[in-house]
Amino acid sequence: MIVPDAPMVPARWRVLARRERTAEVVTLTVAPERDVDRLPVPRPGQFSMLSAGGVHEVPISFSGLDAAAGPDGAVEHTIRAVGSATAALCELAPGDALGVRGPFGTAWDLDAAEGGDVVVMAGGIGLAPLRPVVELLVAHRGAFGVVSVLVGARSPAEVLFGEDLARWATATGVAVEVTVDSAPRGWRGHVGVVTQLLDDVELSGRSTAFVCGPEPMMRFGARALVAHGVDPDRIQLSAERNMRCAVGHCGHCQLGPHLVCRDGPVLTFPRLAALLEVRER
Amino acid sequence: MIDAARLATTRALSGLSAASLDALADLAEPAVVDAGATVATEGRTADWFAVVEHGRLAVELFVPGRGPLVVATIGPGHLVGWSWRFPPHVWHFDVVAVDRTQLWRFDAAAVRAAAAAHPELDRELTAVVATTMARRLEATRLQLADLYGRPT
Repeated sequence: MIVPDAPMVPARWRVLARRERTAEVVTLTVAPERDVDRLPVPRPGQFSMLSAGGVHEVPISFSGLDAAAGPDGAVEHTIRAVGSATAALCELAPGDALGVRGPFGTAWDLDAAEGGDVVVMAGGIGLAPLRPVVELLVAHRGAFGVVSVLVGARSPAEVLFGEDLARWATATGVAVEVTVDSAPRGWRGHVGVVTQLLDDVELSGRSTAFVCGPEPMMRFGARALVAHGVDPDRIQLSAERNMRCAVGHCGHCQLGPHLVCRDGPVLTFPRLAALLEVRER
Repeated sequence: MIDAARLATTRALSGLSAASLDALADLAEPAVVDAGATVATEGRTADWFAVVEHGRLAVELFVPGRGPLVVATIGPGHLVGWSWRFPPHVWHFDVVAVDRTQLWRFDAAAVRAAAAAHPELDRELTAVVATTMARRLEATRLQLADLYGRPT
């Protein structure tokens, strides 16, 4: 985990670009205004606390890190407008300012996946924190076995990162399958739930799975992966809880023995399994 | 008739005994449907069922004002149709080929007759249908939960 020297003080960043993904999902490319405001280069799976328009902060994972180590330190966040804070962020335009603290939390452990097959299972906006993972898997094909990217969405219009999905599918040894809850006739993908896509994936005890989405989807997804032979220790999930301070002080994100902002958001299934049953309103 | 070993490789029928697979193989006929073809229609008699060999079928519900809505797809290895198993033997949804699709198709009356004569086949077919229904029920419940919808 990386905690900056002044973790509670937001740095002033600017929006470089804004892209609407769906009616309520936006990707912002953001970068620090000044070099002194640069933050440590994030790792896939970590998050920053973002704020705009005087509304409270929200934790948002990184959906693009290709330029994070570059001259302007730009990163991408993909945000779904579901409340006042996320709506304020989604309304930002290029040139607008936002507050940024981070990066926080644990990262996806790609080293653990080296040499074996990989399943990336994402539901809805859960594809955003997994996007940098797939980019790395595609960029380092020789280090991994077969990569299966399994994506669930509500409808064809709400499938995120369609261009990326098509590009990833062209990589050798990478299979991309998308399923939606329902679709009009003419949809060429699957209709059903994302766990059903596992039927066409060869899995073993050496396979590693990265899972992110709504908690019920992760519960069912992890159980299905185990039923298909994946070692529970090789299933990594991204927990989402009510993160406020992001540095393990306030306790708002406590989940059993874990503070999700500090010990997570990425945790292995054995550490998270029982806690996924905790019914937080 | 087709080779029972081929049926044994399918997810739907892999749990059947050798005797049951042989009995079904005797009754199986290969079939091919073109993309876009309607293979079953809601309300019509369910006088056949199938297992998908290659391709994909869509289970559709026609909604006035919205047109056909795909509520599930069925891919290789999976069972197409369970209405043949229980009275009144009527299709509950339309089934349309998404891609050119190869099936192993079974005459429902012939299979019911074989099952009536062979209790093991009868029991195993019930398990096949129940497993398929349970799997689709779980999926439908998760779809109904609208997990990817807007949080309230």
